[in-house]
Amino acid sequence: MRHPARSPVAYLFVLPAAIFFAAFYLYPAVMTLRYSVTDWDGYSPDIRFVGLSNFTRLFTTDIIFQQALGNTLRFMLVVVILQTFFSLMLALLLVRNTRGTIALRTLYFFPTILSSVSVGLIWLFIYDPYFGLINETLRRVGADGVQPNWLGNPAIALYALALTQVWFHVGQMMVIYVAGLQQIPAEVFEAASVDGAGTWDKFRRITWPLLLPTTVLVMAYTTMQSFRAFELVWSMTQGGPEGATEILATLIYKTGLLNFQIGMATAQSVIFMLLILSVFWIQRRAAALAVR
Amino acid sequence: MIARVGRWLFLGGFVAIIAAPVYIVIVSTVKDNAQLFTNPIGLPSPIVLSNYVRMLTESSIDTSFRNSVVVTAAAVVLTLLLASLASFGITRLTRVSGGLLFGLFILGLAVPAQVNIIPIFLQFKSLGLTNSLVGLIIINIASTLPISVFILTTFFRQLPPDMFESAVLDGAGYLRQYLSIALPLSRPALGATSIFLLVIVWNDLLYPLLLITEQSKWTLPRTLLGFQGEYLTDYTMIFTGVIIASMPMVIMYVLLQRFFIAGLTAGAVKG
Amino acid sequence: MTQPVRFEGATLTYPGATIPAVNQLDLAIDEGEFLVLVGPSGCGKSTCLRMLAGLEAVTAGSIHIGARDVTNVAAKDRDIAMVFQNYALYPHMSVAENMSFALRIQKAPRAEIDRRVREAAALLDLTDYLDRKPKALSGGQRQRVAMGRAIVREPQVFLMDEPLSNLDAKLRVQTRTQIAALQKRLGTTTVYVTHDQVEAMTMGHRVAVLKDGLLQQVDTPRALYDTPVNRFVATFIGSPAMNIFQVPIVDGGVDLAGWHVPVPREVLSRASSGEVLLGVRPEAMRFAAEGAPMTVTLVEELGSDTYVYGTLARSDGSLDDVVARPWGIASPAVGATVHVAPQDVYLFDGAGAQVRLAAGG
Repeated sequence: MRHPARSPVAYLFVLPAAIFFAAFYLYPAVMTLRYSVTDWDGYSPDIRFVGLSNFTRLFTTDIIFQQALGNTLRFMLVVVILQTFFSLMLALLLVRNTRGTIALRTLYFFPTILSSVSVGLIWLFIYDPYFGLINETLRRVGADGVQPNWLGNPAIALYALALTQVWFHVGQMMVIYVAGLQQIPAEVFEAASVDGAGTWDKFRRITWPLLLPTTVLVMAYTTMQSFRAFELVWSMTQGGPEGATEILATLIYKTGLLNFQIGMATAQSVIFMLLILSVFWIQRRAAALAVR
Repeated sequence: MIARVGRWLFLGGFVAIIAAPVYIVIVSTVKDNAQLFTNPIGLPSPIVLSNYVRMLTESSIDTSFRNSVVVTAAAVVLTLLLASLASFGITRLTRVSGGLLFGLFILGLAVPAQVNIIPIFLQFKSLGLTNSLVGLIIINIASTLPISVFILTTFFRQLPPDMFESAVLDGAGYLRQYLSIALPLSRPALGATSIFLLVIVWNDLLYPLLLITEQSKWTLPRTLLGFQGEYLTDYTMIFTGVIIASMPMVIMYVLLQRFFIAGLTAGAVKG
Repeated sequence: MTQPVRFEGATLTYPGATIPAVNQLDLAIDEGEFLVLVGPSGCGKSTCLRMLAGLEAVTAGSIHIGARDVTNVAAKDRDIAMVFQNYALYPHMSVAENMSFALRIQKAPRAEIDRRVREAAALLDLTDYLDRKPKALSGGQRQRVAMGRAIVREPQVFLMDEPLSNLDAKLRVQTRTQIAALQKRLGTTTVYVTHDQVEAMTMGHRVAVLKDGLLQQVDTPRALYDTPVNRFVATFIGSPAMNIFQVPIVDGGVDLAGWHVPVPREVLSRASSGEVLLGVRPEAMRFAAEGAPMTVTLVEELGSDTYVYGTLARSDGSLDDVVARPWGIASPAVGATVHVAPQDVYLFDGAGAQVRLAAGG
């Protein structure tokens, strides 16, 4: 019998959002899967089914794809490690709520509100090999010989972009860490002091374990952001030089929207999707193990 | 002692790292290119306003500005409306049905819409929604619904159920409960979410890049990207564009810092 | 216009559960009656209330308000007002707005709303607080606002779910009398849930005792105290609880730690086994020259009353705890042995539902 305090009208409340979501998110998602097993070019009226050949080609002969896959993973790793480390350091130093720490936190947080394009353009200047901020400063201090071509040298371009990404969001992660730190009751540290623990001990045995959920969150969020670094890469290098900064997102864009290889591009998208899901699954497992 | 010095060095270093680029950008916009080459780091002398004049008169930045305002305002308002209704509905359903619908939206969190840009482009093309602000608004709503539903559902779940039971006995149907009780009490969550959405939509480059080819319909980030090609190494002009495009966010940030920080970490911490 | 309430075979089994939370409840509440539902945690009393309110769905049976069968009627249409344990006040509305919420939904005329709110506020001494928000009120004031919200509705039935449990002890006693007086004045049928048997005994016209979803007994407080229908009711009502001893049947009575307690043969024949339960209220444990030997372990002097705790030794050496409330005699010392002769004893069957076999004589 129907519950006297509930009513199916509740479904009506969810309906508009659900329709929107189904139409413009779920449907395209399904289409990604569908096109990935074809060799469509986006124009011709017939769509030919080619099974998994797109996927096999990507993993066997498509070195550009493999390079992009490697770049995506390397970018993600560098960003996650650096950003987690620095945001934690900053949070530990600024955990107390004084005028000064709040001011500094506000400053460090600032870059997050800028658009990726703005950040990209700013850092294009900073990395400019001729009169950019870094090389100019190096010249000023006499290191004339050290004038790396930050974004033009395939060996370092990806890492330069990673540094920019860290600059972009380290403040945001710092704030998350601060929130996590402030949730640890002060008495816990006082008890530790009474028990004879020093600074490093306190960190290792109290702060770090109690912060694990926050760390998991920061890492997950950072990973998600690094997968979304399309806008930053596009503003700065568009995947060059020689594919050194090509990440999956930019490759998909180029393959699908510039070369119109819909089938191949959606196949890449499927792999991208699987990559994201497996990275998250791994993080969740690691988190569960670590928390125990 | 060493720890103290180390701390100040570290923090000071970061101040420099974070602030220096920002300083450079601001200062460069009031220099001319000659100054930029000869004196990139120092203060401008003389202060040159021609960049701003040129930008505001010659370029189409004002059109882009208007487009950004329209798209952002519409997307944020509509997303908040749809998401708050959906979240309220989800919390009124049984644990099973509510959980299923919630899980559906959460799928969107795990897999970002970026993965589906190809079909989105094709779909919007066939619907005639490319090259239109309406199309931009729609895709921004669809891609921000998951996080909004997540934040608001989590919040609504924390409201005491007996308050709603009391309202039911008072004769209130769902709409009345939503309007008179749930919404007024969720102002903090709505505020945080709206800031979060505001920053995301205002700063988005992907969708205008994907869907809009007519320059008159570009939003600010897309226009900024265009500056790179148009002004090449005329960084003073490029930075002027950056300043103008970032102005609204910066002003709001200065005025509402606490809310910004709360809003942009709301999606994260509440998880 | 207030109405009588009737539960007929009302049952609620939560999905996935094997035992019903409320099991075949048959209960008729008269128009204008103040009925208290009492029982230990988990006995189903709040669930009964919520079934009546329509906040839970009935699995079997029916519920009636007056002539209406409301079993399938939506909660918002039952014309019932409820006072919640945690008050459930709307934090963003003032006291006046909280109290007028239901009437505003019904689109009642402004003048009528104002009148009712003012009258209820006067009844509850809330007139000075009408513009305040709940967070600016004390616990007692918030409780009164919750009551005011219910009164303003002028419903057919009042429901109250442990409304005093969040108040401190002194306030609780004060508010208890106020609620009882209020109900008398308004004359609305009231169903009141509590786990506190003192509240139950002092406030209700009748009290319904529940255990594990089953109605044990519904009666006036006096009748529950004097003629409990089984061991559970006997020990639940009355504080300190009735002493219960498992005693063997002997010729002509039962044996309590060596002391012979006479019991009519006719009563003994109704016992289902050779052992029965002997119930003696603390005030019926007379100190006498001859009786069962009790070793005193603790004496509580409360000024107006004295409670003496001790043990009685059985033939096999095990000890039973005893509570006695003597009057008119000097308190014994701890460790001393006194003799107790139980008066007005109750006898309960040793097995099954442990029903009462005989009372008070």
